[in-house]
Amino acid sequence: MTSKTLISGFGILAMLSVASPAHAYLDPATGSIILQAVIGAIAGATLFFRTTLYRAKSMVLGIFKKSGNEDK
Amino acid sequence: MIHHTALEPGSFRDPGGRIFTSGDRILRAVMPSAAPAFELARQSGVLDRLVEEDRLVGFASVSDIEAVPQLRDASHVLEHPAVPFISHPYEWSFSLLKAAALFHLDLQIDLLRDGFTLSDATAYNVQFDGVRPQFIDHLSVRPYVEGEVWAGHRQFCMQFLNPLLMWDALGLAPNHWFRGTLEGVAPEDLARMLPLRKKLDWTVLTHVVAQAAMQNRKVKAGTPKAEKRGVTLPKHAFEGMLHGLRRSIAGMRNKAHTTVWGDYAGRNSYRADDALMKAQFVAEMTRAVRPKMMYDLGCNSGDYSVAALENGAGRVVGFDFDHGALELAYSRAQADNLAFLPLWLDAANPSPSQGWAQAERKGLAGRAQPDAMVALAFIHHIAIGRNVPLDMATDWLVDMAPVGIIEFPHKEDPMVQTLLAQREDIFPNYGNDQFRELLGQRARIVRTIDVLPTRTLYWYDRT
Repeated sequence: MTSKTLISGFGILAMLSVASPAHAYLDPATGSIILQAVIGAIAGATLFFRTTLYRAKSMVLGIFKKSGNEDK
Repeated sequence: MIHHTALEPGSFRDPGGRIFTSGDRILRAVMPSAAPAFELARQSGVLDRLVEEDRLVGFASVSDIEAVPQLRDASHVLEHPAVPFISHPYEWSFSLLKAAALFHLDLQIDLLRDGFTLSDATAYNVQFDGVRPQFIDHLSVRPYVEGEVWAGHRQFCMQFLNPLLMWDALGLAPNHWFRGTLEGVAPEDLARMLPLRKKLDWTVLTHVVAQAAMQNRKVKAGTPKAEKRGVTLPKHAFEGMLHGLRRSIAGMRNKAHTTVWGDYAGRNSYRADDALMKAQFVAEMTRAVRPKMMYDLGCNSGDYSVAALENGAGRVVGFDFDHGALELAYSRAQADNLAFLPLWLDAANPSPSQGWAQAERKGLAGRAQPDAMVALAFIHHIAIGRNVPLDMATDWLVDMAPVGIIEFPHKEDPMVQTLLAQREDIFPNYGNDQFRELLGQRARIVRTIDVLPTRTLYWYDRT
Protein backbone atom coordinates (compact mmCIF):
# COMPACT_ATOMS: atom_id res chain seq x y z
CA MET A 1 0.00 0.00 0.00
CA THR A 2 2.72 2.43 1.09
CA SER A 3 4.93 1.45 -1.83
CA LYS A 4 2.08 2.04 -4.27
CA THR A 5 1.53 5.55 -2.88
CA LEU A 6 5.27 6.15 -3.06
CA ILE A 7 5.40 5.06 -6.71
CA SER A 8 2.43 7.28 -7.61
CA GLY A 9 4.02 10.16 -5.77
CA PHE A 10 7.28 9.75 -7.68
CA GLY A 11 5.31 9.44 -10.92
CA ILE A 12 3.47 12.70 -10.32
CA LEU A 13 6.68 14.49 -9.34
CA ALA A 14 8.39 13.18 -12.47
CA MET A 15 5.52 14.37 -14.64
CA LEU A 16 5.52 17.80 -13.04
CA SER A 17 9.24 18.18 -13.64
CA VAL A 18 8.90 17.65 -17.40
CA ALA A 19 5.62 19.53 -17.84
CA SER A 20 5.90 22.76 -19.76
CA PRO A 21 5.83 25.94 -17.70
CA ALA A 22 2.43 27.43 -17.02
CA HIS A 23 1.15 29.77 -19.71
CA ALA A 24 -0.08 32.11 -17.02
CA TYR A 25 3.45 33.38 -16.47
CA LEU A 26 3.96 34.16 -20.10
CA ASP A 27 3.03 37.29 -21.92
CA PRO A 28 0.46 35.69 -24.17
CA ALA A 29 1.49 37.79 -27.15
CA THR A 30 5.23 37.07 -27.02
CA GLY A 31 5.18 35.20 -30.34
CA SER A 32 3.28 38.05 -31.98
CA ILE A 33 5.73 40.68 -30.75
CA ILE A 34 8.85 38.83 -31.93
CA LEU A 35 7.13 38.19 -35.23
CA GLN A 36 6.36 41.88 -35.69
CA ALA A 37 10.01 42.72 -35.13
CA VAL A 38 11.00 40.20 -37.82
CA ILE A 39 8.38 40.71 -40.54
CA GLY A 40 7.61 44.38 -39.88
CA ALA A 41 10.56 45.50 -41.97
CA ILE A 42 9.61 43.21 -44.85
CA ALA A 43 5.98 44.33 -44.72
CA GLY A 44 7.04 47.97 -44.68
CA ALA A 45 9.36 47.48 -47.65
CA THR A 46 6.61 45.64 -49.56
CA LEU A 47 4.17 48.46 -48.99
CA PHE A 48 6.78 51.04 -50.03
CA PHE A 49 7.51 49.05 -53.19
CA ARG A 50 3.80 48.68 -54.01
CA THR A 51 3.07 52.35 -53.39
CA THR A 52 6.04 53.42 -55.50
CA LEU A 53 5.04 51.03 -58.26
CA TYR A 54 1.47 52.35 -58.13
CA ARG A 55 2.68 55.96 -58.28
CA ALA A 56 5.01 55.17 -61.17
CA LYS A 57 2.18 53.40 -62.99
CA SER A 58 -0.24 56.26 -62.56
CA MET A 59 2.47 58.74 -63.57
CA VAL A 60 3.18 56.84 -66.77
CA LEU A 61 -0.53 56.41 -67.44
CA GLY A 62 -1.00 60.13 -66.71
CA ILE A 63 1.66 61.05 -69.29
CA PHE A 64 0.00 58.82 -71.88
CA LYS A 65 -3.39 60.31 -71.14
CA LYS A 66 -2.00 63.82 -71.42
CA SER A 67 -0.24 63.09 -74.69
CA GLY A 68 -3.44 61.43 -75.92
CA ASN A 69 -5.34 64.61 -75.11
CA GLU A 70 -2.74 66.76 -76.86
CA ASP A 71 -3.12 64.65 -80.00
CA LYS A 72 -6.76 65.58 -80.08
CA MET B 1 -35.86 59.88 -13.98
CA ILE B 2 -32.98 57.53 -13.29
CA HIS B 3 -33.77 53.84 -13.61
CA HIS B 4 -31.99 51.02 -11.86
CA THR B 5 -28.49 51.07 -13.30
CA ALA B 6 -26.85 47.72 -14.01
CA LEU B 7 -23.36 46.85 -15.18
CA GLU B 8 -23.35 45.15 -18.56
CA PRO B 9 -21.78 41.77 -17.67
CA GLY B 10 -19.75 41.60 -20.89
CA SER B 11 -17.95 44.86 -20.18
CA PHE B 12 -15.14 44.36 -17.71
CA ARG B 13 -11.93 43.63 -19.59
CA ASP B 14 -10.87 47.23 -19.94
CA PRO B 15 -10.61 48.84 -16.51
CA GLY B 16 -10.72 52.24 -18.24
CA GLY B 17 -14.40 51.99 -19.04
CA ARG B 18 -17.60 50.19 -18.21
CA ILE B 19 -20.94 49.89 -19.94
CA PHE B 20 -24.10 50.28 -17.87
CA THR B 21 -27.71 49.92 -18.80
CA SER B 22 -30.29 52.15 -17.20
CA GLY B 23 -33.78 51.41 -18.41
CA ASP B 24 -33.45 51.65 -22.18
CA ARG B 25 -30.35 53.80 -21.96
CA ILE B 26 -26.84 52.59 -22.73
CA LEU B 27 -24.26 54.46 -20.65
CA ARG B 28 -20.48 54.27 -20.70
CA ALA B 29 -18.38 55.34 -17.74
CA VAL B 30 -14.97 56.65 -18.80
CA MET B 31 -12.72 56.10 -15.78
CA PRO B 32 -9.85 58.50 -14.92
CA SER B 33 -7.25 56.04 -16.30
CA ALA B 34 -8.81 56.19 -19.78
CA ALA B 35 -9.89 59.83 -19.69
CA PRO B 36 -6.75 61.48 -21.18
CA ALA B 37 -6.69 59.19 -24.24
CA PHE B 38 -10.42 59.64 -24.76
CA GLU B 39 -10.18 63.42 -24.45
CA LEU B 40 -7.37 63.54 -27.03
CA ALA B 41 -9.37 61.39 -29.43
CA ARG B 42 -12.49 63.49 -28.96
CA GLN B 43 -10.68 66.83 -29.28
CA SER B 44 -8.94 65.73 -32.45
CA GLY B 45 -12.33 65.25 -34.05
CA VAL B 46 -11.51 61.71 -35.09
CA LEU B 47 -14.36 60.17 -33.06
CA ASP B 48 -16.93 62.61 -34.47
CA ARG B 49 -15.73 61.93 -37.98
CA LEU B 50 -16.08 58.17 -37.50
CA VAL B 51 -19.62 58.65 -36.16
CA GLU B 52 -20.45 60.85 -39.16
CA GLU B 53 -19.13 58.14 -41.47
CA ASP B 54 -21.37 55.61 -39.67
CA ARG B 55 -18.35 53.56 -38.67
CA LEU B 56 -18.63 54.24 -34.95
CA VAL B 57 -21.74 54.11 -32.78
CA GLY B 58 -22.82 57.61 -31.79
CA PHE B 59 -22.08 59.13 -28.38
CA ALA B 60 -23.13 62.12 -26.33
CA SER B 61 -21.89 63.40 -22.98
CA VAL B 62 -24.36 62.95 -20.16
CA SER B 63 -24.54 65.08 -17.04
CA ASP B 64 -27.78 64.01 -15.37
CA ILE B 65 -26.43 60.91 -13.66
CA GLU B 66 -24.49 62.22 -10.62
CA ALA B 67 -26.97 60.38 -8.43
CA VAL B 68 -25.90 56.98 -9.73
CA PRO B 69 -23.25 55.55 -7.39
CA GLN B 70 -21.58 53.34 -10.02
CA LEU B 71 -20.94 56.35 -12.23
CA ARG B 72 -19.72 58.77 -9.56
CA ASP B 73 -16.01 57.98 -10.06
CA ALA B 74 -16.19 58.36 -13.81
CA SER B 75 -14.41 61.26 -15.53
CA HIS B 76 -17.00 61.24 -18.30
CA VAL B 77 -20.29 59.50 -18.83
CA LEU B 78 -21.36 58.87 -22.39
CA GLU B 79 -24.68 57.75 -23.72
CA HIS B 80 -24.95 55.62 -26.85
CA PRO B 81 -27.85 54.60 -29.06
CA ALA B 82 -28.58 50.91 -28.50
CA VAL B 83 -27.07 48.52 -31.04
CA PRO B 84 -30.06 46.86 -32.76
CA PHE B 85 -28.91 43.32 -32.08
CA ILE B 86 -25.69 42.17 -30.42
CA SER B 87 -24.30 39.21 -32.36
CA HIS B 88 -21.22 37.19 -31.48
CA PRO B 89 -18.48 36.36 -33.99
CA TYR B 90 -19.25 32.64 -33.67
CA GLU B 91 -22.71 33.38 -35.04
CA TRP B 92 -21.34 35.04 -38.16
CA SER B 93 -21.16 33.55 -41.61
CA PHE B 94 -17.95 33.68 -43.61
CA SER B 95 -19.01 36.90 -45.34
CA LEU B 96 -19.92 38.63 -42.08
CA LEU B 97 -16.58 37.69 -40.54
CA LYS B 98 -14.71 38.81 -43.64
CA ALA B 99 -16.61 42.12 -43.70
CA ALA B 100 -15.81 42.64 -40.01
CA ALA B 101 -12.11 41.84 -40.56
CA LEU B 102 -11.74 44.27 -43.48
CA PHE B 103 -13.68 46.88 -41.54
CA HIS B 104 -11.36 46.50 -38.55
CA LEU B 105 -8.22 46.77 -40.71
CA ASP B 106 -9.52 49.84 -42.55
CA LEU B 107 -10.38 51.47 -39.23
CA GLN B 108 -6.89 50.76 -37.90
CA ILE B 109 -5.26 52.01 -41.12
CA ASP B 110 -7.28 55.26 -41.13
CA LEU B 111 -6.73 55.89 -37.42
CA LEU B 112 -2.99 55.45 -37.86
CA ARG B 113 -3.02 58.16 -40.51
CA ASP B 114 -4.59 60.51 -37.94
CA GLY B 115 -2.09 59.59 -35.23
CA PHE B 116 -4.36 57.17 -33.39
CA THR B 117 -4.49 53.41 -33.01
CA LEU B 118 -6.71 50.68 -31.57
CA SER B 119 -5.70 49.21 -28.24
CA ASP B 120 -7.00 45.77 -29.15
CA ALA B 121 -8.52 43.80 -32.02
CA THR B 122 -11.43 41.95 -30.51
CA ALA B 123 -14.11 40.91 -32.98
CA TYR B 124 -16.77 41.46 -30.31
CA ASN B 125 -16.24 45.22 -30.77
CA VAL B 126 -17.63 44.98 -34.29
CA GLN B 127 -21.41 44.78 -34.53
CA PHE B 128 -23.77 44.84 -37.49
CA ASP B 129 -26.51 47.22 -38.54
CA GLY B 130 -28.14 45.11 -41.22
CA VAL B 131 -24.93 43.60 -42.57
CA ARG B 132 -22.97 46.86 -42.32
CA PRO B 133 -20.22 46.67 -39.68
CA GLN B 134 -19.96 49.29 -36.95
CA PHE B 135 -17.42 49.77 -34.17
CA ILE B 136 -18.82 49.98 -30.65
CA ASP B 137 -15.86 50.58 -28.33
CA HIS B 138 -14.92 54.26 -28.18
CA LEU B 139 -12.22 53.66 -25.59
CA SER B 140 -10.26 51.34 -27.89
CA VAL B 141 -9.21 54.45 -29.82
CA ARG B 142 -6.08 55.95 -28.31
CA PRO B 143 -3.12 58.06 -29.45
CA TYR B 144 -0.47 56.20 -31.44
CA VAL B 145 3.09 56.29 -30.12
CA GLU B 146 5.72 56.17 -32.89
CA GLY B 147 7.45 52.81 -32.94
CA GLU B 148 4.99 50.89 -30.77
CA VAL B 149 4.12 47.35 -31.80
CA TRP B 150 0.61 46.41 -32.93
CA ALA B 151 -0.92 45.53 -29.59
CA GLY B 152 -3.87 43.74 -31.14
CA HIS B 153 -1.90 41.62 -33.60
CA ARG B 154 -2.28 38.24 -31.91
CA GLN B 155 -5.93 38.96 -31.16
CA PHE B 156 -6.55 39.96 -34.76
CA CYS B 157 -5.02 36.70 -35.91
CA MET B 158 -7.07 34.63 -33.45
CA GLN B 159 -10.42 36.31 -33.97
CA PHE B 160 -10.32 37.33 -37.63
CA LEU B 161 -7.48 35.93 -39.71
CA ASN B 162 -7.36 32.34 -38.42
CA PRO B 163 -11.11 31.62 -38.51
CA LEU B 164 -11.18 33.07 -42.05
CA LEU B 165 -8.23 30.83 -42.98
CA MET B 166 -10.17 27.82 -41.68
CA TRP B 167 -12.85 28.69 -44.25
CA ASP B 168 -10.48 29.61 -47.03
CA ALA B 169 -7.70 27.06 -46.69
CA LEU B 170 -9.50 24.12 -45.07
CA GLY B 171 -13.14 24.59 -46.05
CA LEU B 172 -14.11 24.32 -42.38
CA ALA B 173 -16.67 26.48 -40.60
CA PRO B 174 -14.89 27.83 -37.50
CA ASN B 175 -18.12 28.59 -35.61
CA HIS B 176 -18.05 25.57 -33.27
CA TRP B 177 -14.41 26.13 -32.40
CA PHE B 178 -14.84 29.88 -31.92
CA ARG B 179 -17.89 29.32 -29.74
CA GLY B 180 -15.88 26.89 -27.63
CA THR B 181 -12.85 29.09 -27.01
CA LEU B 182 -14.62 32.49 -27.29
CA GLU B 183 -11.19 33.95 -28.09
CA GLY B 184 -10.92 32.52 -31.58
CA VAL B 185 -8.39 30.12 -33.08
CA ALA B 186 -4.79 30.21 -31.80
CA PRO B 187 -2.00 30.23 -34.41
CA GLU B 188 -0.43 27.25 -32.59
CA ASP B 189 -3.59 25.22 -33.16
CA LEU B 190 -4.20 26.32 -36.75
CA ALA B 191 -0.57 25.62 -37.69
CA ARG B 192 -1.08 21.98 -36.73
CA MET B 193 -4.12 21.66 -38.97
CA LEU B 194 -2.80 23.26 -42.14
CA PRO B 195 -1.23 21.08 -44.84
CA LEU B 196 2.28 22.01 -46.01
CA ARG B 197 0.96 23.38 -49.31
CA LYS B 198 -1.14 25.99 -47.49
CA LYS B 199 1.72 26.90 -45.18
CA LEU B 200 3.76 28.23 -48.10
CA ASP B 201 1.44 31.21 -48.54
CA TRP B 202 3.23 34.32 -47.22
CA THR B 203 0.42 35.43 -44.89
CA VAL B 204 0.02 31.92 -43.47
CA LEU B 205 3.77 31.37 -43.22
CA THR B 206 4.34 34.55 -41.25
CA HIS B 207 1.19 35.24 -39.23
CA VAL B 208 0.33 31.61 -38.49
CA VAL B 209 3.31 29.28 -38.83
CA ALA B 210 6.11 31.62 -37.70
CA GLN B 211 4.01 33.16 -34.95
CA ALA B 212 3.07 29.70 -33.68
CA ALA B 213 6.71 28.58 -33.74
CA MET B 214 7.88 31.66 -31.85
CA GLN B 215 5.07 31.34 -29.35
CA ASN B 216 5.83 27.64 -28.80
CA ARG B 217 9.55 28.31 -28.45
CA LYS B 218 8.91 30.97 -25.85
CA VAL B 219 6.61 28.66 -23.90
CA LYS B 220 9.32 25.99 -23.88
CA ALA B 221 12.05 28.47 -22.96
CA GLY B 222 10.20 29.42 -19.79
CA THR B 223 10.31 32.84 -18.21
CA PRO B 224 9.91 35.43 -20.92
CA LYS B 225 12.11 38.44 -21.23
CA ALA B 226 10.50 41.80 -21.44
CA GLU B 227 10.64 41.78 -25.24
CA LYS B 228 7.71 44.11 -25.45
CA ARG B 229 9.77 47.05 -24.29
CA GLY B 230 12.69 46.32 -26.58
CA VAL B 231 10.83 45.79 -29.85
CA THR B 232 9.90 48.72 -32.02
CA LEU B 233 7.77 48.65 -35.13
CA PRO B 234 8.17 51.73 -37.33
CA LYS B 235 4.92 53.22 -38.59
CA HIS B 236 5.55 52.29 -42.23
CA ALA B 237 6.19 48.70 -41.16
CA PHE B 238 2.95 48.69 -39.14
CA GLU B 239 1.09 50.03 -42.16
CA GLY B 240 2.78 47.44 -44.33
CA MET B 241 1.50 44.64 -42.12
CA LEU B 242 -2.02 46.05 -42.12
CA HIS B 243 -2.11 46.48 -45.89
CA GLY B 244 -0.63 43.02 -46.41
CA LEU B 245 -3.30 41.42 -44.24
CA ARG B 246 -5.99 43.46 -45.93
CA ARG B 247 -4.92 42.30 -49.38
CA SER B 248 -4.75 38.71 -48.25
CA ILE B 249 -8.17 38.72 -46.52
CA ALA B 250 -9.85 40.58 -49.39
CA GLY B 251 -8.89 37.66 -51.63
CA MET B 252 -10.33 34.97 -49.37
CA ARG B 253 -13.29 32.92 -50.55
CA ASN B 254 -15.77 30.57 -48.93
CA LYS B 255 -15.26 27.69 -51.29
CA ALA B 256 -16.29 25.30 -48.53
CA HIS B 257 -19.07 22.81 -48.52
CA THR B 258 -21.95 22.00 -50.80
CA THR B 259 -25.08 23.92 -49.90
CA VAL B 260 -27.88 22.02 -48.23
CA TRP B 261 -30.45 24.76 -48.51
CA GLY B 262 -28.89 27.06 -51.03
CA ASP B 263 -31.02 25.98 -53.96
CA TYR B 264 -33.93 24.99 -51.75
CA ALA B 265 -36.32 27.43 -53.36
CA GLY B 266 -35.76 25.64 -56.65
CA ARG B 267 -36.22 22.04 -55.56
CA ASN B 268 -38.60 22.01 -52.61
CA SER B 269 -42.09 20.67 -52.81
CA TYR B 270 -43.70 24.08 -53.38
CA ARG B 271 -44.96 25.58 -56.50
CA ALA B 272 -44.18 29.26 -56.81
CA ASP B 273 -47.72 30.34 -55.85
CA ASP B 274 -47.38 28.52 -52.50
CA ALA B 275 -44.31 30.59 -51.73
CA LEU B 276 -46.33 33.62 -52.77
CA MET B 277 -49.15 32.67 -50.37
CA LYS B 278 -46.65 32.36 -47.54
CA ALA B 279 -45.13 35.74 -48.38
CA GLN B 280 -48.59 37.32 -48.43
CA PHE B 281 -49.47 35.79 -45.08
CA VAL B 282 -46.22 37.11 -43.57
CA ALA B 283 -46.92 40.51 -45.13
CA GLU B 284 -50.39 40.58 -43.62
CA MET B 285 -49.09 39.74 -40.15
CA THR B 286 -46.29 42.34 -40.28
CA ARG B 287 -48.70 45.01 -41.54
CA ALA B 288 -50.94 44.28 -38.55
CA VAL B 289 -48.19 44.00 -35.92
CA ARG B 290 -45.61 46.48 -37.29
CA PRO B 291 -42.78 44.76 -35.39
CA LYS B 292 -39.76 46.93 -34.68
CA MET B 293 -37.73 43.74 -34.61
CA MET B 294 -38.63 40.37 -36.04
CA TYR B 295 -36.87 36.99 -35.93
CA ASP B 296 -36.92 34.72 -38.95
CA LEU B 297 -36.06 31.19 -37.82
CA GLY B 298 -34.79 29.11 -40.69
CA CYS B 299 -34.48 32.23 -42.84
CA ASN B 300 -32.77 30.46 -45.76
CA SER B 301 -31.92 33.15 -48.35
CA GLY B 302 -34.31 35.62 -46.70
CA ASP B 303 -37.43 35.56 -48.92
CA TYR B 304 -39.86 36.02 -46.03
CA SER B 305 -37.59 38.42 -44.16
CA VAL B 306 -37.75 40.62 -47.23
CA ALA B 307 -41.56 40.24 -47.38
CA ALA B 308 -41.71 41.36 -43.73
CA LEU B 309 -39.35 44.31 -44.27
CA GLU B 310 -41.41 45.48 -47.25
CA ASN B 311 -44.56 45.40 -45.12
CA GLY B 312 -43.74 47.28 -41.96
CA ALA B 313 -41.13 45.26 -40.08
CA GLY B 314 -38.38 47.61 -38.89
CA ARG B 315 -35.61 45.07 -38.71
CA VAL B 316 -35.20 41.33 -39.15
CA VAL B 317 -32.63 39.04 -37.58
CA GLY B 318 -32.59 35.77 -39.50
CA PHE B 319 -31.17 32.46 -38.33
CA ASP B 320 -30.16 29.43 -40.32
CA PHE B 321 -27.79 26.52 -39.82
CA ASP B 322 -26.77 26.26 -43.44
CA HIS B 323 -23.80 28.42 -44.39
CA GLY B 324 -24.68 28.30 -48.09
CA ALA B 325 -28.09 29.82 -47.36
CA LEU B 326 -26.47 32.42 -45.10
CA GLU B 327 -24.12 33.46 -47.89
CA LEU B 328 -27.10 34.02 -50.22
CA ALA B 329 -28.92 35.95 -47.49
CA TYR B 330 -25.82 38.08 -46.82
CA SER B 331 -25.32 38.99 -50.47
CA ARG B 332 -28.99 39.91 -50.73
CA ALA B 333 -28.94 42.06 -47.57
CA GLN B 334 -25.74 43.75 -48.70
CA ALA B 335 -26.84 44.38 -52.28
CA ASP B 336 -30.20 45.86 -51.28
CA ASN B 337 -28.94 47.51 -48.07
CA LEU B 338 -31.59 45.72 -46.00
CA ALA B 339 -32.11 45.95 -42.23
CA PHE B 340 -31.65 42.20 -42.25
CA LEU B 341 -28.91 40.34 -40.37
CA PRO B 342 -28.65 36.62 -41.21
CA LEU B 343 -26.85 34.66 -38.47
CA TRP B 344 -25.75 31.08 -37.99
CA LEU B 345 -27.78 29.09 -35.48
CA ASP B 346 -28.33 25.45 -34.65
CA ALA B 347 -31.82 25.64 -33.18
CA ALA B 348 -31.35 22.42 -31.24
CA ASN B 349 -28.22 23.89 -29.64
CA PRO B 350 -28.54 27.69 -29.69
CA SER B 351 -25.80 30.02 -28.43
CA PRO B 352 -25.60 29.65 -24.64
CA SER B 353 -24.81 32.34 -22.08
CA GLN B 354 -21.11 31.84 -21.55
CA GLY B 355 -17.75 33.41 -20.80
CA TRP B 356 -16.88 34.86 -17.43
CA ALA B 357 -19.55 34.03 -14.81
CA GLN B 358 -21.55 32.56 -17.70
CA ALA B 359 -22.82 36.07 -18.37
CA GLU B 360 -20.14 37.67 -20.53
CA ARG B 361 -21.63 36.60 -23.87
CA LYS B 362 -25.39 36.39 -23.73
CA GLY B 363 -27.12 33.35 -25.16
CA LEU B 364 -29.86 33.63 -27.73
CA ALA B 365 -32.69 33.60 -25.18
CA GLY B 366 -33.22 37.05 -23.74
CA ARG B 367 -30.64 38.85 -25.88
CA ALA B 368 -33.34 40.84 -27.63
CA GLN B 369 -37.09 41.17 -27.43
CA PRO B 370 -38.43 40.60 -30.91
CA ASP B 371 -41.99 41.84 -31.39
CA ALA B 372 -42.75 39.08 -33.85
CA MET B 373 -41.24 35.97 -35.37
CA VAL B 374 -41.75 33.67 -38.32
CA ALA B 375 -40.67 30.03 -38.44
CA LEU B 376 -41.51 28.69 -41.88
CA ALA B 377 -40.63 25.12 -42.87
CA PHE B 378 -38.74 24.91 -39.63
CA ILE B 379 -40.49 23.01 -36.83
CA HIS B 380 -40.18 19.55 -38.43
CA HIS B 381 -36.41 19.93 -38.41
CA ILE B 382 -36.31 20.13 -34.62
CA ALA B 383 -39.39 17.97 -33.88
CA ILE B 384 -38.42 15.10 -36.19
CA GLY B 385 -34.86 15.83 -37.26
CA ARG B 386 -33.70 16.37 -33.67
CA ASN B 387 -36.30 14.40 -31.69
CA VAL B 388 -37.57 17.42 -29.73
CA PRO B 389 -41.11 16.52 -28.54
CA LEU B 390 -43.71 18.63 -30.34
CA ASP B 391 -44.96 20.32 -27.16
CA MET B 392 -41.42 21.39 -26.25
CA ALA B 393 -40.72 22.62 -29.78
CA THR B 394 -43.98 24.61 -29.67
CA ASP B 395 -43.07 26.09 -26.28
CA TRP B 396 -39.69 27.19 -27.56
CA LEU B 397 -41.10 28.84 -30.66
CA VAL B 398 -44.03 30.60 -28.95
CA ASP B 399 -41.68 31.88 -26.21
CA MET B 400 -39.54 33.54 -28.87
CA ALA B 401 -41.99 36.40 -29.57
CA PRO B 402 -45.51 37.44 -28.54
CA VAL B 403 -46.81 37.20 -32.10
CA GLY B 404 -45.71 35.03 -34.95
CA ILE B 405 -46.31 32.64 -37.79
CA ILE B 406 -45.39 28.98 -37.57
CA GLU B 407 -45.64 26.74 -40.57
CA PHE B 408 -46.61 23.19 -39.74
CA PRO B 409 -45.72 20.54 -42.32
CA HIS B 410 -48.05 17.57 -41.73
CA LYS B 411 -46.81 14.04 -41.24
CA GLU B 412 -47.73 13.26 -44.86
CA ASP B 413 -45.70 16.18 -46.25
CA PRO B 414 -42.91 15.05 -48.60
CA MET B 415 -40.31 16.98 -46.57
CA VAL B 416 -41.38 15.24 -43.37
CA GLN B 417 -41.47 11.89 -45.17
CA THR B 418 -37.90 12.52 -46.37
CA LEU B 419 -36.82 13.04 -42.75
CA LEU B 420 -38.61 9.82 -41.78
CA ALA B 421 -37.37 7.78 -44.72
CA GLN B 422 -34.20 6.54 -43.07
CA ARG B 423 -35.57 5.96 -39.59
CA GLU B 424 -38.31 4.46 -37.50
CA ASP B 425 -41.37 6.69 -37.02
CA ILE B 426 -41.27 7.25 -33.27
CA PHE B 427 -43.43 10.38 -33.51
CA PRO B 428 -47.07 9.35 -32.96
CA ASN B 429 -47.71 12.80 -31.45
CA TYR B 430 -46.49 14.70 -34.50
CA GLY B 431 -49.56 15.78 -36.43
CA ASN B 432 -51.47 18.82 -37.55
CA ASP B 433 -54.36 18.27 -35.10
CA GLN B 434 -51.96 17.83 -32.20
CA PHE B 435 -50.07 20.96 -33.18
CA ARG B 436 -53.26 23.02 -33.47
CA GLU B 437 -54.23 21.90 -29.95
CA LEU B 438 -50.77 22.57 -28.47
CA LEU B 439 -50.59 26.01 -30.03
CA GLY B 440 -54.16 26.82 -28.94
CA GLN B 441 -53.20 26.05 -25.32
CA ARG B 442 -50.35 28.57 -25.50
CA ALA B 443 -51.74 31.38 -27.60
CA ARG B 444 -54.72 32.62 -29.54
CA ILE B 445 -54.74 31.35 -33.09
CA VAL B 446 -55.50 34.45 -35.13
CA ARG B 447 -55.73 32.79 -38.52
CA THR B 448 -54.58 29.73 -40.37
CA ILE B 449 -53.99 29.11 -44.03
CA ASP B 450 -53.28 25.89 -45.94
CA VAL B 451 -50.60 26.64 -48.47
CA LEU B 452 -50.64 23.01 -49.61
CA PRO B 453 -52.81 20.06 -48.60
CA THR B 454 -49.95 19.02 -46.30
CA ARG B 455 -48.82 22.39 -45.02
CA THR B 456 -50.60 24.80 -42.69
CA LEU B 457 -49.49 28.23 -41.56
CA TYR B 458 -50.56 29.37 -38.10
CA TRP B 459 -50.65 32.99 -37.03
CA TYR B 460 -50.58 33.04 -33.24
CA ASP B 461 -50.85 35.85 -30.72
CA ARG B 462 -50.18 35.37 -27.00
CA THR B 463 -50.47 39.04 -25.97
